[in-house]
Amino acid sequence: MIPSNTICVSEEGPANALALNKDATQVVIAGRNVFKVFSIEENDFTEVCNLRVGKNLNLNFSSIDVAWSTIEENTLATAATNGAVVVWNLGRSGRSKQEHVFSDHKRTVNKVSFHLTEPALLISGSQDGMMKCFDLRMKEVARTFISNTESIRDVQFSPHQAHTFAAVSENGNVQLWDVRRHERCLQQFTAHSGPVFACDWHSEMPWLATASRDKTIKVWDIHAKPNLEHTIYTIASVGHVKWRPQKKYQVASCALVLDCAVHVWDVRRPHVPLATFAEHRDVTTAIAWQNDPNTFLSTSRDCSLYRHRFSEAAHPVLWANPHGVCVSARGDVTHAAPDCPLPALHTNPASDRYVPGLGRKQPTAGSLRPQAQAALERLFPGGAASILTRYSGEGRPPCCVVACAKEYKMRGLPTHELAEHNAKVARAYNRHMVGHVWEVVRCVYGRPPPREPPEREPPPPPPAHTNSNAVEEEPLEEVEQWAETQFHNSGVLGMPTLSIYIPPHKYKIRHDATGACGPEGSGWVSAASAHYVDVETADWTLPEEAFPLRAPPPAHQPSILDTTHGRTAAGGASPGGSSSPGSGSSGSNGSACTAPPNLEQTSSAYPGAATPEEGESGPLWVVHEALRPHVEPAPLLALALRHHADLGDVQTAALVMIVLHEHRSDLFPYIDEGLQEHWLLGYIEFLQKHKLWNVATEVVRCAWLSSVWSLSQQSSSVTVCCGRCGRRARPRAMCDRCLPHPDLCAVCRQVVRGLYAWCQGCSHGGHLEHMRQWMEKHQLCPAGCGHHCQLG
Amino acid sequence: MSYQDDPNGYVGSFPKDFTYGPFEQNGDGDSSSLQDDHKPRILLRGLRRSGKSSIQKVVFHKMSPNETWFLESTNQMVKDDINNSSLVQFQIWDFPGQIDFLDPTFDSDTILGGCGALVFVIDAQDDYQDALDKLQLTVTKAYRVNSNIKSEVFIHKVDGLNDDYKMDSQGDIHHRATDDLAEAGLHHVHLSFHLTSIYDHSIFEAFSKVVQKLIPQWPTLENLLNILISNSGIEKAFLLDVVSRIYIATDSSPVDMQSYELGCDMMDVVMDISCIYGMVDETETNTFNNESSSLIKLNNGTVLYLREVNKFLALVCILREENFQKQGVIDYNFLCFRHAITQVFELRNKCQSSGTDRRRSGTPDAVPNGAADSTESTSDHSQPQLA
Repeated sequence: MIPSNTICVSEEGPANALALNKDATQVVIAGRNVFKVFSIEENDFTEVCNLRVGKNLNLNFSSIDVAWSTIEENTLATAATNGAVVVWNLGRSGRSKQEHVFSDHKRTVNKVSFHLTEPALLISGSQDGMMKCFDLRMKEVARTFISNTESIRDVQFSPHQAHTFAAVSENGNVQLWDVRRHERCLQQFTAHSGPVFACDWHSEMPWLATASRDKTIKVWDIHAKPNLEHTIYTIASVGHVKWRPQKKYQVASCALVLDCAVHVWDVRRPHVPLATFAEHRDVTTAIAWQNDPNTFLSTSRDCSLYRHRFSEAAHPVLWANPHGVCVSARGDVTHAAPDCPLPALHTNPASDRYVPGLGRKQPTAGSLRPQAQAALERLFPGGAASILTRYSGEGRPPCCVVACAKEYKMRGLPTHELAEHNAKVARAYNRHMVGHVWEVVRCVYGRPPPREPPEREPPPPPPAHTNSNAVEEEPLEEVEQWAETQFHNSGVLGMPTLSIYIPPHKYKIRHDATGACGPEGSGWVSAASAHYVDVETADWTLPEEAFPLRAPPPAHQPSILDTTHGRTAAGGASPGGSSSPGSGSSGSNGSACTAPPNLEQTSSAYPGAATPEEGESGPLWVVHEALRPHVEPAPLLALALRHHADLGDVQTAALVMIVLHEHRSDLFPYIDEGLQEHWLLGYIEFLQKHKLWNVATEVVRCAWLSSVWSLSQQSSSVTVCCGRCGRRARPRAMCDRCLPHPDLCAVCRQVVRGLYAWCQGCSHGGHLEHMRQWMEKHQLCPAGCGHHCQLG
Repeated sequence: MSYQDDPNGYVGSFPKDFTYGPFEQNGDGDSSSLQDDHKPRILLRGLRRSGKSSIQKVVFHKMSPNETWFLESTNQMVKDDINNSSLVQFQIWDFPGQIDFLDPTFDSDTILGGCGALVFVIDAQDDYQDALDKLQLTVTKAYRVNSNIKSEVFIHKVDGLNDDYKMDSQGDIHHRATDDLAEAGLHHVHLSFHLTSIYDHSIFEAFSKVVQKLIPQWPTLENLLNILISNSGIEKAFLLDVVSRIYIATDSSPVDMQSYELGCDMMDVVMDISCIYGMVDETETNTFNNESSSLIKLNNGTVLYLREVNKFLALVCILREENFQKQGVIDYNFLCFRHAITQVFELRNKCQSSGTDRRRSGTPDAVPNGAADSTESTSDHSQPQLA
């Protein structure tokens, strides 16, 4: 408790309201059991008068609200729970100062306020939704305003237009009334999503601040159409709000529950209060500024009346930690921090108090907003410059994926050309694994499928590793680098596959295991990513029909081709090659793009798979072209796509499926529809997250699943406008206004009977023949609307 | 003194002709009967899948909000009697969304004639243009048939919306609905808008407000509560309906959502515990009687105090611990309050039995207010006790 603060504790009970006289030298507090006038001295309050006297203390003495006339020195008005509005005259002789009782309201009156310039006008707002304007000279109700809302919580005359007043009500509405017209309000708008409890006019700007149960204070520009200027987020329902005099952007508020402190906010900095006064031990019930921006009075349910000085305020911003951290959708972390440390805290004894308003989470950007920055600069001229640091996340940088997404082509060309293009794109961004998949697609589908079955069986490999049915596909820069480890992890997806090896026992199995890529062998089962396959257990499961057996597999010598010949000789003819399962653990590193460096490590982790005699075999061999194995590519490609999807690269999976066009159905037996949909939707979501709307739409357009391509129709709605007045018409009905008028031909201005043709862009039209003739000669609409019409 | 001593009591709560559906009665035309006047109807309207049945189930049948997922869509009108309390006697008519008021087979005169309030539910998560069109048709039609009908609009399912969007759609719906009505020439018809969700207490609060408007004695009750709380040092008092937990009345201070939730939760606790432990003998199934009361002290110095008012109403008070020192005074004030409420009910019953014509002409509004004056004096007795 700050000693220099002026306090006064009333024993009788808490005050519900307080009001200052015109000069701010006296204050009246009113509550259920208390009704007193104090004069404000330099350091304390002196009781001037107790108005709650007399034998018959009825409910008229229990006030909800009190107002002091802004003109008359001696006139007070109170509102009571029983609906009475009582006018008091302090100048009356005798003990009872009660001047007149208006008992026109049947329910509780929540608010009374005096007109700012007209001394005889008093307005009241009541629980029953009515406002009554009393004329104190006639001692009767001058006008009754029926708001048609729920309870009126506050009424305030505007300081700008003498006849206007604002009324806020429990259903969240704000109404502006002209005091001379009681039929209907001038304006009405919904201000809050909960009850509005208070409002206050700005003294200079045409602004109205409203406080609501939805825990916000909103500032409305009432100049023309009500426009929301600022919103302040607090931690509790806001009970009262008062602009700070002479400060354009500052407003004081107190909460209805939970928060005992009075906060002064800068409306441009809506999250942290500019100053906090936390002297009260219970909820603050009323605040009033003392005609100057540095002192104000407040009453609370703890029965105290305080005079606060602004110099004694606690400034939450001073002990707020000016660091901001935010994580972006791409995994980047932004951190904003002051450049140099803040000055030491003022040794304010109040500074260690609980600061309401700090803990509230707000949907803000991660960096300092310019306003906040400006406020910070004002407060700390020395430490103003902030550092905005941006850290990239650990994970794979998605920029290359996004860039690829922009450059990939998905239609308009034959499959192999698309694949070639996409492979180039992928390689340009160092995504070699992905590029490799595209190469495979290009190779596999680059030529028409072979018509005639191969003359010879692909050679069954001998039991030893030396008998690899190795197919070289295409040399890469990395080939040499990987050459010595080729047998350690042959067939790593996306890496240059230098040899393919089919163990004989598996080779036999493939005849009976048709179609399905069932797990066979322990190495296969243990492979979590379905692509981590041991050399020993590499299994190619092929459909029978693609594999007409004519002869028992003869013993065959290893057919290995040199890498340099691989491209020319085998070219794209080794369908299964690159996408074949292989050893290696790229599945476990979870990142497609970072596979090459990882492979280097993992290759050494599988030394057991190496066969000594193959270790040094730099050159590769492949059977000549006639011997290329006609393995069915579909299941392998499907596996590759699944693998990519498992690695989190849904882009490749989805796009390959799209690019395949007519070959797509080959994959259907291996990838069920749910998974396809999952991929497509995942990719579309990814694109939308990165604002690549065009690409996403392209994907939707290329999609083959009805559930996906119907996305393009999902959020589009068609409304019908009247062609004449442009007003939206009801569905399947004529425009209400233009109904009696028939449609005229835009060319001949005659009523159209029969065929009516119109442009769907501007909705002008006419006789079919006229329109056709017009369109042959002209570009623009015959009605003169300037639209480039298109008929048909 | 309690209502149970009263031979003419309304304790029986079920009207004598309870077995008759009012619908059949209305079938024979003109004699739209007294019983219907006793039980104003609340019609639930809205597009299909907008959540009408969910609202009804959650509010009046204690269905957990999550279970409403499994509700089938309503295919025919469901009539639900909420006449469990002497004050709260009304029916909820849940219409299937596809029923068209303009359909000639739809007997709008009968249905809308005795209807007290029309609740139109708009799904805020959906495109609401169609709903607004239908709202305009429905309100226009209802107003033509029955100009006293109160139109309430529930902007429903707002739990899924963020605050800004909530505000925008509320403002937009308000604006457009009012414009539509003005275009149809109904400037003076007033629509009340409520943002509701079944996942919090907003639907209870909204329904409370709808029901309160149907209770002619509501202002009296509010005044009584005002007197009670100001004389007993209570911060907030709710008169809760025991079954549905909607509040029939509260004092005039602002309703804070948390206090209302506290009150509802306390009601639940009391009902659950008394169901388990309150069974005195096998014959008595209703364990909530005039001995029921409950006291919960929260660790923030707040006391929740519940007292039974009558079989279907309970008073929940929220007050500070230091004001609870003199519990005797509060109890005495409460007895005065209960007595006053009993008087209001007696008066109402007298009005009802003395003829239907007077009821219709609006006299009941005036009479209970007179009663309020008398109860004020009874409560005033308690004031010296406090001082």
